[in-house]
Amino acid sequence: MISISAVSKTYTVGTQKVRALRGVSLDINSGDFLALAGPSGSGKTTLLNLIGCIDSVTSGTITLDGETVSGLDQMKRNLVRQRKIGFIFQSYNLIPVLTARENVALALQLVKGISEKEINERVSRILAEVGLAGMEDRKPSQLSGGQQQRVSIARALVKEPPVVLADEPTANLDSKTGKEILTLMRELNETHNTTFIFSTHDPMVMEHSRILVKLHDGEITGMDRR
Amino acid sequence: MNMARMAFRNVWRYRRRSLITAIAIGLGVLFTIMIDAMLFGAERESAQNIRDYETGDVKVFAPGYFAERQFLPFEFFLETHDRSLLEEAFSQSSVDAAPRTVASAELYFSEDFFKVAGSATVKLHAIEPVKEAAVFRTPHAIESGRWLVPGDTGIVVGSWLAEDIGAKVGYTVSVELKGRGGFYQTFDAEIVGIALTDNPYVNRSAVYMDLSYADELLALDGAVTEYAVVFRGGGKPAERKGQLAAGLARSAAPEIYSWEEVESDAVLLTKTKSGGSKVYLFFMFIIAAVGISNTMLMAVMERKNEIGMLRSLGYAKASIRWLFLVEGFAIGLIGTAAGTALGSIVVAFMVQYGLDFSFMLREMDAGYRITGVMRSAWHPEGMITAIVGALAISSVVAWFPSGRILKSEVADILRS
Repeated sequence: MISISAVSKTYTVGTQKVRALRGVSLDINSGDFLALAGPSGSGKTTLLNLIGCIDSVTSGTITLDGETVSGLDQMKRNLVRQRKIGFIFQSYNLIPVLTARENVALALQLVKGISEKEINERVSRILAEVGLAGMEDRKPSQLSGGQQQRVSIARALVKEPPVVLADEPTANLDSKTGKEILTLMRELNETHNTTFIFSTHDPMVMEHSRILVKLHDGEITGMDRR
Repeated sequence: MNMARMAFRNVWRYRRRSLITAIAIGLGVLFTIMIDAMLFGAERESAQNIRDYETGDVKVFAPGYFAERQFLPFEFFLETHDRSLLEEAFSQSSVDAAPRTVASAELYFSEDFFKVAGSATVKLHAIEPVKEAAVFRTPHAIESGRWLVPGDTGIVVGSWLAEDIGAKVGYTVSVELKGRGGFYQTFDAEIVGIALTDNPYVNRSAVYMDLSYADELLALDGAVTEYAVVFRGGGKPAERKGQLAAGLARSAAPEIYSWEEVESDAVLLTKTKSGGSKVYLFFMFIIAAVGISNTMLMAVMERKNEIGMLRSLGYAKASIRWLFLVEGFAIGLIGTAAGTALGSIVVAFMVQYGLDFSFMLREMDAGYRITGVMRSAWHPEGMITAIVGALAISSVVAWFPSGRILKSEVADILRS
């Protein structure tokens, strides 16, 4: 499903070069529920960004669904993101002026050949699935943190991408809500067979993941399969 | 949910900032419309007053006069033979024509009538009183006394001139000027009327006398320096001028010039003033543009996460730029609508009542032939330019602030 081969990423900060990833290789199968864990600066978010085609590799290759996505230009990576990747952000990144329904619909409006009616149906269905039935017309400010993250999950899943990437999805939530969100994502992973990849340093997320990849100083230091 | 609707909601989301920016744009549009209408009104009224009091629609001169007209030369005359041919042509051309001899003169006043003795340089117009009244409005603007009659030995003077020297109807002044051939002629004349016109040049320095009396005093032998002509019954002035020129071709090659050509300096001056004011308005728009640009820059910086999220969903850079462009346009639209509405109210007031600049125009020559109240005129072209300009600037400057951030990788946008 996803093949990461000898991927390195070097950032330039001022005059300093920072090697965020050093020759990382990893294979991820369809339907995996995988967490990238490690301390700050270990490279987990960088790896997530490279898989999500929102950053470019310095060297190495990433293949997604048989298509080499590393080395694509911004426009082509844009298309890959439209079709194949859903994002869940730590701070939800919802548009405050839009309702929950409109926020989720944003992801579908780029998909060609879907009618307004179908968009509405799919949005209603996914919002019900994440437990937000009846709250479709609320704006983010009228929702709790957990509910906002549910909208974010619905937005990531509504276009039915094969891969969902979640950057510290529970970091802004209390432990009870965080657990609920993880349970929800696990259920969605099972029902939709969507690959979920997290970056986290939350032990609860690590506990819920089926595969735990440990990173340190830009290198994979271990992998646990449960 | 389309991007345009999102943009309009964002305008409401940052309503205080949007309002301040819209006010800046609105003020820009308001002043642009207001000043443009004022300049347009002044230019139009000034042109009308030149035609009504100084030139008519066209003037006919003897060859050589036009090039020297600023100096009021007394050597290029339309002789009696030319005049009879011209008047025949005029009678067949649906025009009113007034023969005139214009010269520079010195007007002397003594303690007999005036508080102090002195002199003033004036522009003497020797005219046929009846024909003058058919072409110009001065004969209909007599403040006190009366207009001239054929054979009159009196004079009519402009009201400001009368005021400056303390003249009243019934007072006698001495007039000195060169006659034809270069001799000096001095004669006494009673002021029979004082003209208060809408043209400051007439009020300030014009003196009128009967042409037949002037002919006798100045040895003109029936010649005049010019004919002022107005077209009756409409038609395009340029075409009518062409037709008249063709009709006059049989006479001794007189030269015919439109009022714009005769008063080209005044026309140029008003156009230069309008141009200068437009530069000022351009800078006003630049200031408004900087305001919008700043507002949009703040919006972009505050919404990096949203921009990053939209890019991660797969939205193209152009779509996101479009979002900000629509926001800028929406703010511009609010400001422009308010500025246009307020501007229209101000212009309506200014068209009706105007602003009284008499305190200024009485003492100085601003180039405009306006005596006091400066009235605006509706100028749709100027309004459309202001509206389109404001909307275009609002949109264009909103396009740039998002550019720099959109050049970055999505990850960098989200990280920053």
